[in-house]
Amino acid sequence: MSTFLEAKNLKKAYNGRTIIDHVNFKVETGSIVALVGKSGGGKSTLLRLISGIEEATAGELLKKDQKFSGIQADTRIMFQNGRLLPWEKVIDNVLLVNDQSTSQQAMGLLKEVGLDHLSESYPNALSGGEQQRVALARALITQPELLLLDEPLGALDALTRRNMQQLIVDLWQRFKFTGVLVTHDVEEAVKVADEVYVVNRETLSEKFDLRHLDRPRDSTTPAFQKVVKEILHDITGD
Amino acid sequence: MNKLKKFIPWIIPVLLIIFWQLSAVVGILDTKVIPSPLQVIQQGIKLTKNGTLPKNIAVSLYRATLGFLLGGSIGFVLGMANALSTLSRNLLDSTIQMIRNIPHLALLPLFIVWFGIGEPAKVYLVALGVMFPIYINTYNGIKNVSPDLIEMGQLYQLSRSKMFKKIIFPGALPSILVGVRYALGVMWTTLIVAETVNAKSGLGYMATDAQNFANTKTLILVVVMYAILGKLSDSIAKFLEEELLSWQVGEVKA
Repeated sequence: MSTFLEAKNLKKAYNGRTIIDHVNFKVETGSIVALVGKSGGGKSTLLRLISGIEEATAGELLKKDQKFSGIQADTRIMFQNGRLLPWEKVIDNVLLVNDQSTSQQAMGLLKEVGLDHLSESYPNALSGGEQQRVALARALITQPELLLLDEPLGALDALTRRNMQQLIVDLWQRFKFTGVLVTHDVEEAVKVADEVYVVNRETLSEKFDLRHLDRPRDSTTPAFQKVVKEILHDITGD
Repeated sequence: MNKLKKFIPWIIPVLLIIFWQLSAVVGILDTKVIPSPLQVIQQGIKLTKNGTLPKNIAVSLYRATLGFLLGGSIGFVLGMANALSTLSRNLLDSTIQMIRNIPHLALLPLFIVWFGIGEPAKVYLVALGVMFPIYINTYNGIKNVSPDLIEMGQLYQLSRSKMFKKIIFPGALPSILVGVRYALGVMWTTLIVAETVNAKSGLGYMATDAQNFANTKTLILVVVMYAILGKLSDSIAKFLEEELLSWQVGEVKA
């Protein structure tokens, strides 16, 4: 397996206040890595650095062994709030990103996320989960190599979360992108990711490899629960 | 129930007119001072038949529209420029704010001296009055576009023109339309004052002329016309809001 994304000694400080420091990690091509940890621990900052919307104070980011900075065309990001354009119909939101996509492609993606019947609706008429599905379709229409997910399910109810977790895994298996998921929900991380990093006190404290858990993952199995416990233990530090 | 709701706004005006008519018939009102609604309507028909009313309405509408378009476009362009460019804002904003705080109607005598008693003085005055509400609401509208959406546009690497067309302008539109609606009110007020003080035609002139002959029927007719035209322009603005902002209520349109 080749390394798709690598962070070397990454640091970010705002006005002298360090948010993250000494961050090192690797993401293998085609894998999903989850970053978990307490809120305010710098997970989202790390994701914003990778997205290129913000610049690191020190250290470097490499993609396929090449240093990069700034916003990358092959990278898409999805936020807790779908950030859909409320004045554009669902289909036009999906088509916003690039002019080369046809409405047929957009409809195909909406079908993938189970929303083709709502293509002519405005986002305001959609539930939170549906809006996130549209945001997913919009992110995937350019077939990004790297998909960044910043608490994408953070605002959804438990049942919708579970369905969406499965949807993300399904889409990942179908589109074969590399993914970085930021979440405060350890079960979600274990359900979706190949590897989980715990972000603790400004840096990544430990890495958990979850490849031994078969997919689709069942959160009720002892193996699943064991990993969840280990990660929680690492986060809380007791 | 819905039919009844539609009727509710009309109850007070209709009752007032009936009461007014009855008072005139019974003799409580001196119809020389306050003519009855029927007399006003008859006057309206008379002046429509001889062409006076339609001609003056047309003249007033022409001035109002021209002034609105002129002032509205200047306000819109300035609002956009100052919201989008720091240089433009630093250069122009304090000047605009200074001019804005002069009551524009106070400039009427100056405008008459500058532009004479012809069309330009009235059109320019309307334009000046209309410009500021559109300017301020365009500026604020653009400034208040969700930073999340702008960041999304950056992350998706939208071109500048697409960013404006898809995110900034639609985001500012609700506020701009509030400005338009307010400006329409300013438009009529300004025009009425301008035409009353200084005109040879138009509804304001009709009123001044009628005043000279103590023609209360025409005076009230003009007031009624103002009410109708004002309501009409407000309805147009409301219609525009409903059409352009239909996404706000999440309507599914075919």
